[in-house]
Amino acid sequence: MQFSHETPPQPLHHNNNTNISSSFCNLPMNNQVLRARPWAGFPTSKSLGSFGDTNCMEQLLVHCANAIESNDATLAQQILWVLNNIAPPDGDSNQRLTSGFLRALIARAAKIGSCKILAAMADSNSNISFQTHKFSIIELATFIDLTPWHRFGFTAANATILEAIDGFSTIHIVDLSLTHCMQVPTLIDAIASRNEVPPLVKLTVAGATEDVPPMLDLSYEELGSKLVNFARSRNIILEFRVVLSSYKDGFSSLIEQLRVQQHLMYSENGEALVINCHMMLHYIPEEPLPSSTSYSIGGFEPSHAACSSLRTMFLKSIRSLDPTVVVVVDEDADLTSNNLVCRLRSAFNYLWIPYDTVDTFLPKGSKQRQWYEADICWKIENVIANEGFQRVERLETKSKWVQRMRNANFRGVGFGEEAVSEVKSMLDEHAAGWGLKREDEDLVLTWKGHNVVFATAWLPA
Amino acid sequence: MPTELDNSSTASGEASVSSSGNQTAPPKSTAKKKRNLPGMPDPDAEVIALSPKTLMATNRFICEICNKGFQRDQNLQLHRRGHNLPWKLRQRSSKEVKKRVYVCPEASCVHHDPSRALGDLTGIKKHFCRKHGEKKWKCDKCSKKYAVQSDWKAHSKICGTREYKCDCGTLFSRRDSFITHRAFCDALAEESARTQNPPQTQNQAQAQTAGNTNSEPDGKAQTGNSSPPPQVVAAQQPPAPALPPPPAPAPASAASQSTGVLPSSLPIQTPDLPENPNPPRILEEAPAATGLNGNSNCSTSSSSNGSTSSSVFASLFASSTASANLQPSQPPAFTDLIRAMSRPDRQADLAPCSSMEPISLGLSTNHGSSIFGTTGPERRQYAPPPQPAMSATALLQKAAQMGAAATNASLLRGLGIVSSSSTSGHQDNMHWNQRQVDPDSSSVPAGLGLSLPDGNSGLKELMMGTPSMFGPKQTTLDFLGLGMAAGGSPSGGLSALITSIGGGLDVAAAAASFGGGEFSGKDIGRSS
Repeated sequence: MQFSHETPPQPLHHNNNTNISSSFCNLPMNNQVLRARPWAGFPTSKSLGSFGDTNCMEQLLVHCANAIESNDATLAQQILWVLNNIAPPDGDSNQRLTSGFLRALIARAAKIGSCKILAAMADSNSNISFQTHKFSIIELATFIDLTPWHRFGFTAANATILEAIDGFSTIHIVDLSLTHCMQVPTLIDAIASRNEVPPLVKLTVAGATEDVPPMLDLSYEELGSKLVNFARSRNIILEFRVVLSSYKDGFSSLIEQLRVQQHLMYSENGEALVINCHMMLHYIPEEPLPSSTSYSIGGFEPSHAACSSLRTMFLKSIRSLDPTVVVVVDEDADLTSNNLVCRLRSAFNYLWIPYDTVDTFLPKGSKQRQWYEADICWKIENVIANEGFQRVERLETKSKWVQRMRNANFRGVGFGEEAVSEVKSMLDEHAAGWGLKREDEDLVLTWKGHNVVFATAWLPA
Repeated sequence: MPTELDNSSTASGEASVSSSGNQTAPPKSTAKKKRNLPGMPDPDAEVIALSPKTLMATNRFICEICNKGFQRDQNLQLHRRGHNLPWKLRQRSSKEVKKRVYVCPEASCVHHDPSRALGDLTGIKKHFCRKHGEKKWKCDKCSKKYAVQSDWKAHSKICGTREYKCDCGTLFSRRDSFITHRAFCDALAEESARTQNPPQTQNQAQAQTAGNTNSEPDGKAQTGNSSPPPQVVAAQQPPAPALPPPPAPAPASAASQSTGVLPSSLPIQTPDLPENPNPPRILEEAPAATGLNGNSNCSTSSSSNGSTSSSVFASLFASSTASANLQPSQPPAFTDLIRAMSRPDRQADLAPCSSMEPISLGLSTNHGSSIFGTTGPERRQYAPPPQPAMSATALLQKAAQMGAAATNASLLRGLGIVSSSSTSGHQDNMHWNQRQVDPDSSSVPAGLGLSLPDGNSGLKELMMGTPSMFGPKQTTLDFLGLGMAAGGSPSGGLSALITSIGGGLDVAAAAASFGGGEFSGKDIGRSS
């Protein structure tokens, strides 16, 4: 937040307040100087002990959000100013988290509110803005293994998939993953190790998802060729295909493609269809579609179009493909509320986790940490500053997803002991705060006891 | 002030100088001032400065009888018992044991300063050794050198053992991260290129490189046409083992953009296993489509029946591809695709694609194209002449025009062709806002913040003292962002503010209304 250096043009009457006022005006109120006392009596950020408290920060954020929503420019500004003071973007984890929210709120006010002063702030604020990093494929491979955030889902999913595809001579994997096929090498490796006669493996990915982090600076064709190469080194024939399809329409083109293939497919020993969903499904819009629209995903018209959303329809379409196994791994939080304050609370009480997990082992100045936090900031901004179609981060809780899958005629299957022990040993290699929980048939990754990511496996019911 | 003495009284467990004989020079003794700085464990601690020799010396206590050396006086004494010599174990001194800290004798070292002394004798020894000592211990697996033996031991335990090493040199402690890295590492690509080369023809290798490096088209075109084009054409009739080559990723990047788009829909398949020595290389089957095909040279196909690479979708223009894919197990994928391309209207049974032009050939236009295999009859149907290939080319060209017209910009973008990544719309928004806002106006919030400590009066003053601020002649936006000149209409904020001022609402009170009541109440009220 940056106020101009120039003194405001208003002439102030000389009174005993002038000294403070004018000296205050003359201060360039950038981040650094703000930490000096803006007026006598204002506690320094060091002594703002109680304000470093996360609860307090959350409260302030909530009030600020309310102020913005009710178009109360004055109040919003004041709170933003305070927040900026107590939560510098280079502070500790909580401060950086709050700072991310702060930026998002400013961006929101600039876009949605009618308060132009916030627009000015947003503009000056954008100087400190983050740029999400475009990863090279090797960088991404290292990156996703920094914490078990993704590897947990990979391990659990692969174990289940391996069991489900046992005996099939052809395996068709549809990988809907945020991590650009990072799960695939270990899966191929496992398939290769498990079978005397390696099956044919087909891999289909949806190629239009390059607008959410982590961003990859490699085309999917090149990615695919590397995978094919790798598979060959493990004696597996891999067919790689990219179908241009986006979550925006519920992967309609992909479903269509799959359906057509199924109709025309001829395979002797049967083909196993594996749908692997890794943190991708939460981008499919879940808002109810107007009942007047006749909408179909991949040619599949659900019976109850009235209360359907693209998300619901996607799941039903998947079910109609009669897959061998479906794995759903996603983040366990609810960010779908239409109420900004609710959403903010949920996001704040969830996204502190990624900040905390890297705090333990990535040094502050490290590039990876910057990239990681930039990606989280992207998400925060998406959740807070956007509405409608632009707001794509629509996480739902595990229980919601479980309900959805059941409604779509799937039944859950548990994870075997082998899977669990593999996950456990993987977690052992990471920081001490990571844990594993079993809830019914599902596995949940926890950080310091809080739910982080869930993994579920489904068969057609 | 602790005084520095000879080592007899300060160094823990050290014998008097006399017993150590000529081995050690008397340690330097310096009087050090106590410094009470943060980080200093104990300001009362005794600071001890030992000479390098003393630090590095291992066995300073020598038995006079047998010349055996000991690190500690106590140990020496116990040893002397064995010689039936008088021995005396020093009792722990009755007075409180003084905490001792040690400084590094190296003058340029940061630990030379007593305020940065280390609290442990072993610690200072190791420090001196590591930092200022000679690195005598070398790991034999890697090239690392160590000055302290324990460090060296600890390292060699883990060096190279139980660690996965990629050809590029990176080490991993976990297998899964190793596998993931290896799959995408360039080292693997090179290695496979090398292993591929001998048993396979050039095409293969080129395919590899093409696949991996997206090389230029001409190389491919040449190979494509050079190697067994006759076979390729001949592939029109059912050639026994011939298989179309898998499409290279290169096509995506090679040639024109339009063709680049196409192959994105092509599944990429591994050519057959290296064990197959002489698979006939069939590249671009359809010479007519060579121009476009040239890029799809990629790897050659292998002919093994076992390979289900029949479902290779090499060049889509390969009309002969279809016939080439006469594999018992899995009929070719692209046959129908191509057929569909040439006769789109025939595929009435399938749902027409929404807005996809032929450019998205394999993508969402499934004009009855079987992607992963077709049934027999359909295959045969496909035998006919290159004409489909011609129309394929024509279609592609048409698609290219359409694509270039960016009717489907998102499609292209999705394929990574449009490289600009729109970070998000909101940033554009912000810039837009920026243009509208005069930077001067941002100074005004200072006034707002200003008013807080002053309570109401300052704000009112502000308002009343400078009515011109809100006047139209001001080009800057007023502090609520309502520059009249800018054409902004009073926002809710301004009216609220004016109302609140008019209503005598205390701004400080307003500030107090949000959480942290003590903050606003006390601190603002407390302003002086």
